[in-house]
Amino acid sequence: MSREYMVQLPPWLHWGIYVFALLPTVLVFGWLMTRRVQRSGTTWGELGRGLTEAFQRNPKTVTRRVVGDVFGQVTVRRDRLGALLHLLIFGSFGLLVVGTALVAVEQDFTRLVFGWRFLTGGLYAVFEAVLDTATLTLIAGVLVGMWRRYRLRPAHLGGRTSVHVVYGALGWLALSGLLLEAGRLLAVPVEHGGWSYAGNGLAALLDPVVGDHAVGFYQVFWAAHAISAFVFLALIPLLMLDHIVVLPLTLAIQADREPGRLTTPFDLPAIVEAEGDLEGISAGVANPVDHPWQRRFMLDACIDCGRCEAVCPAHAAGRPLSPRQVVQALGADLRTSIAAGAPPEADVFARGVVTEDIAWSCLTCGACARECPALVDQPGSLVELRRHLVEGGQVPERQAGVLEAVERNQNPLGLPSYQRTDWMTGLDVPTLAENPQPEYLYWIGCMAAYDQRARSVAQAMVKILKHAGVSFAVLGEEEVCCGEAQRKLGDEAGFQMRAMENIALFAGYEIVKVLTHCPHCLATLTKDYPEFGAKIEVVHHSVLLAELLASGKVPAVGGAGSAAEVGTLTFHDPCNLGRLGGVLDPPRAVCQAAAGPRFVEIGQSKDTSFCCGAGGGNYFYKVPEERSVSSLRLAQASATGADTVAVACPFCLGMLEDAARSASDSPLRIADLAELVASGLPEEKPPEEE
Amino acid sequence: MRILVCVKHVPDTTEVRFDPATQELRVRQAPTKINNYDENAMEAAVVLRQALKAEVVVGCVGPSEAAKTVKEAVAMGADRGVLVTGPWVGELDAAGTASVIAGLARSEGPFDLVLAGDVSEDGYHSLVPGLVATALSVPFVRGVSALDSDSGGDLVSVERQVDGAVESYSVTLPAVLSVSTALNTPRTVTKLQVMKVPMSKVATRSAADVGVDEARLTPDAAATRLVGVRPAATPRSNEVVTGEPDDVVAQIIARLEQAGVLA
Repeated sequence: MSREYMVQLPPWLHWGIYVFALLPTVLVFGWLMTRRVQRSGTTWGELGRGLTEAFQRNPKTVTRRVVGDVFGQVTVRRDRLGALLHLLIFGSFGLLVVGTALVAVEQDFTRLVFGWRFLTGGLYAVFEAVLDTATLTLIAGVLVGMWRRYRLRPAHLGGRTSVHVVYGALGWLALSGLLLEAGRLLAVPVEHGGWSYAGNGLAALLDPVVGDHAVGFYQVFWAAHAISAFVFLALIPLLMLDHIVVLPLTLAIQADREPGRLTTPFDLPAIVEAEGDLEGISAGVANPVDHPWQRRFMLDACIDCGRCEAVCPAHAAGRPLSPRQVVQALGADLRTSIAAGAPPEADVFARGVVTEDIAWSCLTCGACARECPALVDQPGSLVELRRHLVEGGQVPERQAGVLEAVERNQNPLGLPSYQRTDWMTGLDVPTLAENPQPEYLYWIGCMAAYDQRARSVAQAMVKILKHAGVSFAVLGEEEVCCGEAQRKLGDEAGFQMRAMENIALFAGYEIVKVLTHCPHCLATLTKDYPEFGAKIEVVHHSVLLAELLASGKVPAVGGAGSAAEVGTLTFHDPCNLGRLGGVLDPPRAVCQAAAGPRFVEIGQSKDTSFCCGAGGGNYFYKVPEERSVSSLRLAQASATGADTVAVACPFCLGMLEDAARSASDSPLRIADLAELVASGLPEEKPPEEE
Repeated sequence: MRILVCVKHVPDTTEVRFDPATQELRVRQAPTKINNYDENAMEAAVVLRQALKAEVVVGCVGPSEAAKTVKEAVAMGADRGVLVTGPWVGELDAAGTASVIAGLARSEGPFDLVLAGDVSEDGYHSLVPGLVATALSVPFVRGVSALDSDSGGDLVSVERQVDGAVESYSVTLPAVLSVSTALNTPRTVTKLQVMKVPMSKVATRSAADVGVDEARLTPDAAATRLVGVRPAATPRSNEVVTGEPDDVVAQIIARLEQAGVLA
């Protein structure tokens, strides 16, 4: 049992198909794909070097990323319906192309050269059945896709015209493939035809219609299928299916990009130390064409699937930002600039490609980047635009005030630096002067030092650390802002000089381990500072709290009255801790200890968490919006039926509590993990009279 | 056109601390910065520089660490800066400061326009710009809220807001103008821009360099002398009203009517 190959077709087709079809297809495909690559100002040479460098840097990560995302569809899988249609089409189309190629290899290579045929017997039967199934699932995938696009019409779906062409072409190829198979089975009936069950079934249906014209019918559909298949393959670089080639490339090149990590346009501390020339250095990009080729290729890789827009909290709040539209606009502008051969004279803002409000709307929560199958760095691209605005002095008053406050008052809240230690009055908190070699330097952060509400987080932590006998000390008046707001707002030089000073401060005290309850400080100290030479281990308080609870050094919450206060508990993942920091389980362990079985998850949790509205410096300024991001998040938390929302970030604490206060009917209590744990501690004995 | 912008190096008022124990303002250790009001003067000068290709020089009288303030001002877009400093700098009164600035204006000049902020955040005297104009014998307008160079002629048109009215002046150059914060929004200067200003653009001069006799800058030679500071006690009648909200509101309204606050 084997394939009847090219029966009833002119014999010259055996070689003609290679000369007149495959060769031109390969040539046209190659030419179009080269143009596709070049439209973002990239060359094959750069791509080759980029791939080589990526593999040399981090072979495991690159392999895991490419294999996982291409064959495992790891990122695509995150959107259920999108995943279903993509898997159906990707899997089926892949099988059919491989299957067709196998037949050609067998017939025109192994048979002719070695006289060996491998698609025989049982294997051939399975092969036929598999290919027929793939044809049916391809049709199913196209139908699911069309149903989604034309009936469901989710708002985030981009509108590329080539999608219609792709659905039409795939549907036609599947259908014509089945028809030609039916024709072949009618023209040259075989005993094992039943294995090609779909074609066979269709043949039975068509038999009365086709009658004596089976051979002609077969020849017509063979030719139609073959011509359209080759044309389709050749034109792939023009369609959104170009992502078959482009995405694996961009995935590989950027595989080791850390989530939430911003680009570092220069190393100011190093230049200052070397007394180098500062004149030439600058941050930010005025136009997408100014990006290095990797980021240009990345922007141009977006296929407009809209997964980013669907999860963007700024978009959900009705802010003018859609990450999809921004990347599409920047990509289109990039292609125009490349085609024009010269960079535009004015920047993207002056030319109306994006607005300043769009750049300031981003919360840098990373939800979009987490969902992006093309590994586009939407938040990073928006921060690049902010850097450009800051460099040109085009900073709105509120943001400028924050940047000035950090420089002048050493905190983004603009409060006097000498009030930094007010929170610890009367608490007997050891400073480094008193405990010069602590296990942990407890980094308080500006929020807990200055914000009246967030102070209680630091105060609760001090109580817990003392109860558990953990050796710690604070910097006290020597602590200054970590610079997170500067970096996220685009003041790169200000941030770098601050990082340099803080790193020197840590080094001066020989700090090894830092404890912080602020995920913003955590992200800055762990992601940003190492680039400038920081050698510290930073521990988030949720991790330490989980450890202390597990080892019994602090009692589980549930002491007198406290459990009743917590009630049903849910947890809001701070973006910088969960999605971007990868700390997901420890805060949940703390919640379990506080509420036991009465701990419930919010639908959008862990790495799909929804920003509180404070990220990316947004705590300190306003952009036009229809609803507040914090009220949206509060509603999600409230839908769990929880009485208490646990947070693990002083910014989330402030935002959600604000939202809870303005929602008059919301009885929700917002509490930091440290406050929950501290409420389970026995009351401190008043100091004995001397 | 040549413009001199006077900037003052002042303690950061947001960081000035009132010590409840000693009843004193702790100004000494406070971080220092550029006087906010002078940033509006800088902004105006930078706009003129761009429009008329004017040369803009930053002038400052202050301690040697004021060089960072001059640098910050130059970073906003001036051509260069001059800091006049000396051991006498802490003892100056407004007239002394004005005499040094006038000396600076003559030695670096001639200038068509001398710009300054209306007031300084630390002294709040609003005296120096007028005294500079007097010393230079040129016209002076304070509180400038709009400024038009008339495309670089010998006149400038200015407006100033006074008590709900807007006065328009045509001022013959050279002149001294002190500007209000209503004039413009100063541009943001980033750390990088400040760092990029080479120290060669900030010259340091002594009193003698600008033609002022140091002997006239001693406290004894000063026209005015600060002899003391005491907190001004504002008499307040603190009354605490307690009770149910409705009752409290009624009581408060009654008291306010009694006091003649509510008619």
